Amino acid sequence: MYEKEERMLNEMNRDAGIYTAVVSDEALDAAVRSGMRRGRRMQRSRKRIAAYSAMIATVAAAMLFVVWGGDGGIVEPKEQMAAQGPYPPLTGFDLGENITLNTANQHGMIQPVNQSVTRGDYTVTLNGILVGSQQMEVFYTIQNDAEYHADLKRVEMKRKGSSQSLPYSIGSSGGTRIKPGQTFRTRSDIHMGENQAVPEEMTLSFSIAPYSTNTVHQSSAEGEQVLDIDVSVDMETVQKFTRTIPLNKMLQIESQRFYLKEAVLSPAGIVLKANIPSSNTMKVSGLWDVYLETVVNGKQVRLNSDSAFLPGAGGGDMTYFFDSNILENPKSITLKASGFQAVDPSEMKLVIDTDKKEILRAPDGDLRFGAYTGHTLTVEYEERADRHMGSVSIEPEFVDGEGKKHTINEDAGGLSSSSRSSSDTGISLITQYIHLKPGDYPQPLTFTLSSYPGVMEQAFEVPIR
Amino acid sequence: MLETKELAAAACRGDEEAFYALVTEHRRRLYGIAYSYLHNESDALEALQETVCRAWMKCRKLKHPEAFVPWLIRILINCCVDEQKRKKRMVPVEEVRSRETAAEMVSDSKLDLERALSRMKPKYRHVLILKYYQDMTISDIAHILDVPEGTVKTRLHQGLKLLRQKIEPGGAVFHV
Repeated sequence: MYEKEERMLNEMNRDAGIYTAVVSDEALDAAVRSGMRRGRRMQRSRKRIAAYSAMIATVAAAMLFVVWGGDGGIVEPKEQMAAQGPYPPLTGFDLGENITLNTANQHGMIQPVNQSVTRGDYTVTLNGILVGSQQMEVFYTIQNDAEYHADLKRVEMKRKGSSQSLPYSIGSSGGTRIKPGQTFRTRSDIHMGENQAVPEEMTLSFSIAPYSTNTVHQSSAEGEQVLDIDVSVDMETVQKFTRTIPLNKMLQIESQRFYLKEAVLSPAGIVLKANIPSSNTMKVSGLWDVYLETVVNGKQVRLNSDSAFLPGAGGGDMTYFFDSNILENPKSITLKASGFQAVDPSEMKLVIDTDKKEILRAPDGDLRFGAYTGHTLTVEYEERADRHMGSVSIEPEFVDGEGKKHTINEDAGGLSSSSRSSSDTGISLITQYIHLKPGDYPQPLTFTLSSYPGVMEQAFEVPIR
Repeated sequence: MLETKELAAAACRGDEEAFYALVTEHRRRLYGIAYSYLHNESDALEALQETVCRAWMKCRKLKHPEAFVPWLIRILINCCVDEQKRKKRMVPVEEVRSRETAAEMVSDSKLDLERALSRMKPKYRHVLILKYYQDMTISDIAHILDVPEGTVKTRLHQGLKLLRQKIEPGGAVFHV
């Protein structure tokens, strides 16, 4: 009689079964043990209170107060999951104000490695690693025993025992000048590609070459030494402190949408996975002014996003990487944003007449014609700190006044930009350089903008925990 | 290896190892029930933790240790209901039900079902969840909820009827 309703319920049963199967035994065991510990503590508190009340009735209230202050009290703050890792704190590295690294180190989550490799005059020591679901921080020391400066050209991650690279991006590596005799301590952060986890076994390669002003901006140089260190990640500990929280929330402003899939919490960072539907009529490229707000011991702590994997031109998956303080057992974690970064794709055209030296069409009035000299066209705009900041990017193909397609001159520099900023006003003057091939172009020239600042404002708050 | 009955009796006498063994044997099932109510891993694990805490504190007063597991599930259900009441979601926009076919999107009917269940009276919601989300028998449900089997059958029938009334074709959901 209720076949349809029963069918729907049975489908939910299947989903529930899937979610039940994926939770780890360690997480379940930790919940059970924590519950028993808290139950024991509450029992002891209650027995102590009963004894005091029986002995001295008038002092009972004061004794309750003592019990509250000394041993967790009658109403125990909700005990959370295990928040202490197995490792001693990493020393010798300046972690600055970095919330993620300081929290992880204080709670014993930076896995010591302490492996060294020497080639020629260079020695690299991999001191430690902090691993999350898709991110890894690598702490290392370079000893330069040469009589000249050395240059750390790059740090690479490969599959262990092979030269095959892994899909990742790396920040803050390369272009480092190390003095003769210097011991240089530094770190690099690695973000794995979309839906790629940090591998359990890998090889980290450190490329070091003699420092030269001729090659300082190049990723490789003559005479470089490559020092490989094999790494085994303590995955058991990583998985024990990693948790995935499904969100399944659709954010919407007018008819534009942004879908929050899930958040992956780990001591190395919080990963927010999202999707931008291709059905959006605006070019939505992310959340505007997005951050996480956690509450730790009654205080609000802001976790910023330091990087993101962006979607393609037509929408798609997007990944934000936030700081993490989950080892501080925040009472709540809330995603907050002020809107969407969105522009009208029909406005993403830049039409310039180089003969008249003016911009005929642009998304707004903020772009100015700079100059057209020696087939180099410049466009300028001010990027104020209070403006809805976003990059202005131009596609390499353009169309002339007769509808013929051209591409920019890559040999002459292609597309580039420079900026001059004022610390007083907070204004940066950005100059975009567009190098064209020599020739006379029928006017005007129509360029396509691949990105441009724009915002649809609306405040969002999404509880994650 | 002790039988469940013996473990329960030992647990109710304060034997920590027996209590731990018994709860561990059923932990995944308890988690599954909590997840059916709370729909996310973090909340379900916290509900499990709270359940274990309450059960440990109260198990010495359990008159029938042989009913330990149904009693434990009853505590868990109460924890889940408490958590549902305490939780306040602050999303300023309504959950938009996607009409798209991407695998990650939540379907209309799933949202409708969840909403209909959440607005149902607890006595109907519990039997539907335990029967359909956890594949429990009428007898099991009767033991957990401490009601006669006939009452469970009646509530199941009524619950399905209410579900049909609450979910209209196209996805509109009416408040109780």
